[in-house]
Amino acid sequence: MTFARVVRTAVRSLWANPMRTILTLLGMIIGVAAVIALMSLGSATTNNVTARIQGLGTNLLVITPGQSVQNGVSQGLGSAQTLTAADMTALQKLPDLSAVAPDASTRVQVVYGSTNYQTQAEGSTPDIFSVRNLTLASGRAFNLVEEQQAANVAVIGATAAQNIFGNTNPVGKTVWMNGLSFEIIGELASQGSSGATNNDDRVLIPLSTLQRRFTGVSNPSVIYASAVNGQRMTQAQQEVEMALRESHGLSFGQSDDFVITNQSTLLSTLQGVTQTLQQFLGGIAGISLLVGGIGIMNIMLVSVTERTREIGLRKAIGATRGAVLRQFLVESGLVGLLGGVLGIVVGGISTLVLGRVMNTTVAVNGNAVWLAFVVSVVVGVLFGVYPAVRASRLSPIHALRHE
Amino acid sequence: MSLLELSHVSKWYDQAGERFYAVRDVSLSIEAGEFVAIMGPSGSGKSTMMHLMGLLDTVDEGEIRMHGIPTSQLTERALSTLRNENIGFVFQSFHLLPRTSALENVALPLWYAKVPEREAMERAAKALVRVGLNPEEKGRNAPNQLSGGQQQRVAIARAIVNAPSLILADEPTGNLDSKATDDILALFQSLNAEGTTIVMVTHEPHVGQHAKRIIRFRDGRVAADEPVPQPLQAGAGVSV
Repeated sequence: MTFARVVRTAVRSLWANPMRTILTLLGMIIGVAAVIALMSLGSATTNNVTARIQGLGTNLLVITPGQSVQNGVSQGLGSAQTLTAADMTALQKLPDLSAVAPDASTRVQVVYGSTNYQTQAEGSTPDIFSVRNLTLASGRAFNLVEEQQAANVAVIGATAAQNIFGNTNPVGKTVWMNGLSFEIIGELASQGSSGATNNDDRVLIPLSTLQRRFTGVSNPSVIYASAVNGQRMTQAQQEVEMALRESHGLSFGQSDDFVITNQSTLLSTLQGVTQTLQQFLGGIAGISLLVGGIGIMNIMLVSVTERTREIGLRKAIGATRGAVLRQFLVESGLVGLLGGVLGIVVGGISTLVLGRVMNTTVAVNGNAVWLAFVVSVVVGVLFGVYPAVRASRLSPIHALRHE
Repeated sequence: MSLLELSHVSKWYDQAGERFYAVRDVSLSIEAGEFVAIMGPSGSGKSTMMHLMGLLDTVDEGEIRMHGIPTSQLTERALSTLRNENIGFVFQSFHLLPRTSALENVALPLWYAKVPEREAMERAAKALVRVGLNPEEKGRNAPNQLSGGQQQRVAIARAIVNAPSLILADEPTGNLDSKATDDILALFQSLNAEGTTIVMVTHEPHVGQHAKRIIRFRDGRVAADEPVPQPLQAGAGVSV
């Protein structure tokens, strides 16, 4: 029998019981749609996380002091005061770094009119804006002159601005911070939070201002550096380590008294997490595909029983075991295929609908579509094997006599 | 060489520790061109005989040769091919595929014989014409749109489409009224006149009298095997 004939026969027999076929298909459709929707949403989540971290700057290296050890007790990361202004000078010479910004911070009380607000004052150099990917919603950043003169100017974060000024534009206003008057010269665009810290709840002031007016400490507590590009991250990190070891006079065998955190490492870690989550969701959806497959097997067994006489007749007039086997495999494969195609349509639509409901950018995951399609056909054929083998083994005389 | 030669054929079933013989030590041969009726009361083994002759079932003892080929050692696949090429089956309940046109029902054995699609449809149409049905008209109908007599004609067309050397008919008129019975018997007689060998199982004496030879079974053995001196001619005004 030609393949076209086999397919026609299969279509005809599926068409003979429309309701039953639709219900069987439904099992496959739900499974395939679930795989596609969950995997698409999963990859959308991965993309969102990636985009957010990239928004914070992927070329970013964060250098923090190491742990200080007092009386044999480790004091925790950043407890040592090992970063110096000399380190800054050393880092600025490195070829693979495009910009370096020192950073120190302290809690300040901001007073504006009757509003009293506690926030973080962060001191840095003008380079911080490029290194940390900061963009201004309005106003301007402070400049080198203001940094050198320790001017009382501040750039305010979006959350802090909202809490202090409400909806009025903070630029040009004067506030009191720990009793000193500061002019707000700019407002930062919202950056969102990374982990527990809200990057929008802060005021940025020149580092010299912070050191002279508030802390009195001249060492930066963190140094941010950005590599020239994402490909040079590893080299940049090595250069930083060499430069700092030299600057700190560490001899061979002594361990680093600072820690370099790489933003792209964080990114790949988070991506790993979301991808695992995505695969987990896909796996759960895969189980429903399996259930759909069992539905196919069930209905094929019923079909074999119902069509026993037909099978007997086919065998009597010359159908070999292989021919009968093929007939039923094509039939169950066809259910898988149809379920796969319809499931892709339903899955695609529900992905888009879910994306709209959850207000996130989603795209139907192409890999999920292919995977679901192939798996559904394979499931159809695989779960058809047992019923098909049963059909092919029927003895023609018993099958012909079957009532 | 005989078309079909049975030597010392036995077929038994073991039931509750006892051996029950459906067919016991039967030897007979059927020559090309014969029209044989196999008769006997129910339980006489004539149905089993029919299945054995049709190579649908295997013997427990003895040998069946078709065109001199011993069949007891053949694989299932070889038996399928042998049935497909040499035997046409006609059943009491027609056994046509539902929701499938008459023409496609007739073409079915050719598809399994891997005859090219176009040739298969042409030959199926010819077979329908031979049994007196118009392929352009009745050929398009599904079995449930045809009368019993017409369905059996389609089944006969299916049986002859592959030009088999033997037609095996199992109670072919059992479900038909006397007019349709007469039509079918007339068709058999004319096919036989053209050289087709026919073996027909029936329990109706009147139907059996249309054959040229009657083999009577009783308790799984051949009770009588004799030619019919004056076979009845179907379609010659004979009525029941």
